[in-house]
Amino acid sequence: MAIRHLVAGLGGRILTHNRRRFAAAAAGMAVAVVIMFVEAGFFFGVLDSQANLATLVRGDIVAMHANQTNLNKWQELDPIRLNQIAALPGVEVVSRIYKGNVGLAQQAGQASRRIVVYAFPPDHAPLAIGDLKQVATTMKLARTVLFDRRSRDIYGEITPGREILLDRQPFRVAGEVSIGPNVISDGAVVMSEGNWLALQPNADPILGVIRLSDGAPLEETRRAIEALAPGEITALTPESLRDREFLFTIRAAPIGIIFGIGLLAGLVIGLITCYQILYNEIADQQAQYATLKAMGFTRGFLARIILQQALLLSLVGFALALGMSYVAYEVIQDLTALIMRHTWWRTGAIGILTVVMSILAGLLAMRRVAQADPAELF
Amino acid sequence: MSLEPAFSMPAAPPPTAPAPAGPPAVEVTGVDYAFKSNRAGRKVLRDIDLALAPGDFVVLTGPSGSGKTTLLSLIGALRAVQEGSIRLDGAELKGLGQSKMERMRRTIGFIFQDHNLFESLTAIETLRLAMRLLPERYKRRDFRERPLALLEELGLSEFADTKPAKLSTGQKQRIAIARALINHPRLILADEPTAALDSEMGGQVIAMLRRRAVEEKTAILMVTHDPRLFRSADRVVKMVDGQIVSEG
Repeated sequence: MAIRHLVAGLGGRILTHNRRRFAAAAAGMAVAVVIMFVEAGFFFGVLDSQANLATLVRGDIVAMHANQTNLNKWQELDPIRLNQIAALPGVEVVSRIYKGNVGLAQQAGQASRRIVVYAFPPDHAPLAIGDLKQVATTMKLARTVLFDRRSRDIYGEITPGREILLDRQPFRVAGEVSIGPNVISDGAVVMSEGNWLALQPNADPILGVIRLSDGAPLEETRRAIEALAPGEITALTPESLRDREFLFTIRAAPIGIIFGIGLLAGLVIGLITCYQILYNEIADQQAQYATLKAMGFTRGFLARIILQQALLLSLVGFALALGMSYVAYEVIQDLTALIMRHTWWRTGAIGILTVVMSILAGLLAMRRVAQADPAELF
Repeated sequence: MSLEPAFSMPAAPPPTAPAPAGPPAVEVTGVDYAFKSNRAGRKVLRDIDLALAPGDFVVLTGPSGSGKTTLLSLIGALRAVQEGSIRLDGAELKGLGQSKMERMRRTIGFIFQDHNLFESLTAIETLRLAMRLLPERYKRRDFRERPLALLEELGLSEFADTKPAKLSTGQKQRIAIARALINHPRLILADEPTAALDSEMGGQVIAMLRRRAVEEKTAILMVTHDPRLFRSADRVVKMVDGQIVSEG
C-alpha cells in the first residue's frame, strides 16, 4: 500500500517514468545495499561462528574455569567441582564436555590435519548437534566418532562407515552431526567420554552443562555454583555465555573495525549512488521544478517530491538487495563455512540504514532544487 | 509568398463601463532594479510606473535587454523588490518573506515561453497538480470536471490522458496555458505565449485570454515582440533600456 502510494505520488511518477533508467538506478542502489549485507554478514558470521558452541548447549547453566575467558581457550576444570555442582539442590544433571585437538588422517602415512574433538557422556546429550537418540546410540560404540558434516573440505571425503585415524589411532565414522567451524577451527568430530578418555587418559572436562530440575531457581543456583570455588568457577546461562563470546571476539579481534569499514563503504557508495541518481533526475527537470516554485508550491512540497523519490529508490534497492543477499550468503557460507544468516533485526537494521542513507542523499540533492530559480524562466 | 501567415487576432473590445472600484490588479510605482551580480550597480529597471486594472489586457514590448522580463518577474513575486513599490490587488510585495511570496504567486497564472511540463504526468494530471495549490477552493468532483472542461475549451479534450512525449509543441504549450488558467488567477503573466503555436491556434489562445480578461476580470500582462498581437491589447507598453518610453 505504502509502495503504491509512493509510486503514485509525483516523486514516484517522476522517478519511474523512464523504466530502463529506473531499473538501472535501483540496481545501483541494490549493489550498495548488498555490500552492506555482505559486510554485516561477515561480521555477524564471525561472531555467530565463534559463539556457536554456546548456542548448541542444551542446558540451563554452563560452568567453566574462571580463566577460560572465551570458548576457544581450553582451560580444564577440576572434575571434583562438577561433582560438587551435581550435589547442589535444584541440579538435576551435570554433563561433562571435553574438548581437544587431534590429527586426523584418512589413512596411515597420509599427512594429518588438526581437528577439534568434542566428547561427552552419550546419554546426556548436552549439545544440540543432531538427532539426540541416534547420536547417543552411535556414540556408545567403541572406537567410533561422529563427523561434523559442516567441517571445511580440507579433511577430504569423510562419510559414515569410513575408517579414519585420529592421532594415528583407528576410528570408524559412525554418523554425522552438525556443528560448524569457526575462524580458529576447521571442523570437529564428536565421540563418547569413554572413547576420549581411552585416547587421552589424563583429560579433564572444559565445560559442565547443568540442567536444573523443574522450578529450581536459575540465578540463585548459578550464584551457588560460583560460590563453590570463588575465582575458580564461572557459571553462565547459555545466552549470557553467547553474549560474552560476542563481546570477547569484538574486543580481541578488529573484526568490528574491519567489517564496520566495509559496512561504511557500502553506506557511502549507496549515499553517492542515490545522490547521483536524484541529482541527475533533478538536473534533467530543473525547469519543471522551477515552474513549480513559480506557481507557488512550497519548499516543503518540493522536498516531499525528492524524499519520495529517495524513499522509493531505497525500498526497491533494498528489496532487490535482500534477494541478492540470500544468494550471496549461500555462496559465502559454502566457501567459508561461516554461519551467514538473516535475522529480523539485522535485516531491519540494514533496511533502516538504507532508508536513512537515501533520505540523507535526498536532502543533499535538495540543494539542486534550491538552485532552480523561477525568475530565470522568463 | 508573404512571410507573414494569415493571422487573425481578436481586436480589443470597445471601452465599456468605467473600471470597477477597488485596488488595481497591479500597481507598480517608482520601481528600480539592479542585479546583485552587476558590480557597477547598473540598473536594469529605472523609475517604472505601471498600473493594470482588473480585466486589463496589456502588452509589454521592447527590444531584448530592455527589462521586460525583469519587470514581469518582479510583478510575479519571483524577485524581491529593491526600490519602489509593487502592489497586487492592493497587497505590497516589497519586504515579503519567502513563504508570503509563494502564497502571493498562487494567485498568479504564469505562462512561460517553454511549457516545462513533467514528462511523467498526463495533461489532466498536470492540471490537477496545479489545482492542489488551492485545494480549499475545490470540491472532489472539481478535480475531475474542471480540468476536462478547460482542456475542451483549449481543444485538447482528446489528449486528457496523454503524456507530453506524444503531444506536439503547440499542444504542450496549450496545456501549459491551461495550467496557468486552471485556478482562475487574478493576474496572468505571459511571456511570448503564442511563440510555439501556429497562427490559428495562437489566435484562439489570445481570444481565450481576452475572454478571461473580460469575463473574469483577470488582468493580463503579456510580453511579446509580435506586433500582430498589439491590436488585441487594451494598451501597449514599450520599454527601452529599463524605462517605459511609451504607453497607449
